[in-house]
Amino acid sequence: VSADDEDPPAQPPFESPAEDPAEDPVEGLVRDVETMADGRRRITFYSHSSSPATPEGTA
Amino acid sequence: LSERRYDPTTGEWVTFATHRQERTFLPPADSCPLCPDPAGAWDGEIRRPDFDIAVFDNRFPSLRPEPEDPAVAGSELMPVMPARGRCEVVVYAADHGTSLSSLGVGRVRLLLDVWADRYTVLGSEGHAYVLPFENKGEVIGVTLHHPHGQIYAFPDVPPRPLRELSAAARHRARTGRCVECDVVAAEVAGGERVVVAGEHWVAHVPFWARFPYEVRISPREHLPSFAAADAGARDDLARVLVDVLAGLDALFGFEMPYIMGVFAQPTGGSPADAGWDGAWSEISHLHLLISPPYRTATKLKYLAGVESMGGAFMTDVAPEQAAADLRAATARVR
Repeated sequence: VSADDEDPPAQPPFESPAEDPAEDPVEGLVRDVETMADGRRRITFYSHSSSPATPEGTA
Repeated sequence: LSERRYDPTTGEWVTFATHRQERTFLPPADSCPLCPDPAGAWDGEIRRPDFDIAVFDNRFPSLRPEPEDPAVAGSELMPVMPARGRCEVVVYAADHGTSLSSLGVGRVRLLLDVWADRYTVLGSEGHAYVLPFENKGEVIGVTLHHPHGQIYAFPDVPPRPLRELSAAARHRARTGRCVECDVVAAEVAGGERVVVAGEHWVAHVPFWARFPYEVRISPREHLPSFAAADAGARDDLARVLVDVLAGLDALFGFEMPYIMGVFAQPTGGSPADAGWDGAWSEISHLHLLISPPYRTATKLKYLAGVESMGGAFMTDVAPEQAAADLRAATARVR
């Protein structure tokens, strides 16, 4: 994008995805989502269902 | 101050995040915020005794899902907007003393699944571009030594990927083909700049490498994002990436600092911004870029006058020689 060929956007182009990304086709990925200690942010623990550090997460 | 300001002289946005001046800077290992801290003894981020990979919102984000209003009033000439987006930290391991290059194929394979999952999640939140990256090494500017990467979700397609997409659009309009597909095919056919050739992925030093030992890793087939990569393709990339990182470490005999980026199909915005009237997937070819700053074992390449002011890179090592050096280094540790 060059300076001389467009007007600056007044608002960010914050749109829904133009094309939906495909669903993750890989099985065995474990995601365990928690709220962090500050009570505001989220944290996701990832593991493969066969790995030793896997907690009682949901696939 | 947290906002994005527009530069009408280049057509690019610049993000201001002055609160990041207060972020944690090279803490001692016994109070690392990314180490497991189950009891909250040093206010660590991760309250578990062990984990594989953890992803969380950055405590000091440059971009936020619900940003504050800009502190200054913009104008028609120089508009300002909230710094909307999301900044995530990706912690690769509980062990403070390891690195991605030494975590092995299994953990790297998990990281690929994490990148794919975050791409899908952040794309579904409405962000236009999802950029996973890693800054490694103090010479790159890392502030935490614990092995980790980051993911930024932008409200628009950032300048560098937009330039690549624009070039891909021009190539596609001229030839009807994907430029990255053509480059990968040419590199495989020639072979002299190939570092590691997997079944699905090829790592090579680009013909136009901007850093002496830069490595670009791309799928042989047209693949817009990890979300569309099957298990076999991810398995192969994990092996190729581990080989490349091990080779970089072996090149000069020390753990190589680098900047690594993952470039995938935009999750929003308009292909028209890249001069394309079709779909993003037609001009997006997933690839990784690893840029190490060293040109010899003791000398760094700096982005000085020519690169910073001219935007024109001057490289000190022939890509063909760099590829041969990296092939030899990779073979030593394989």
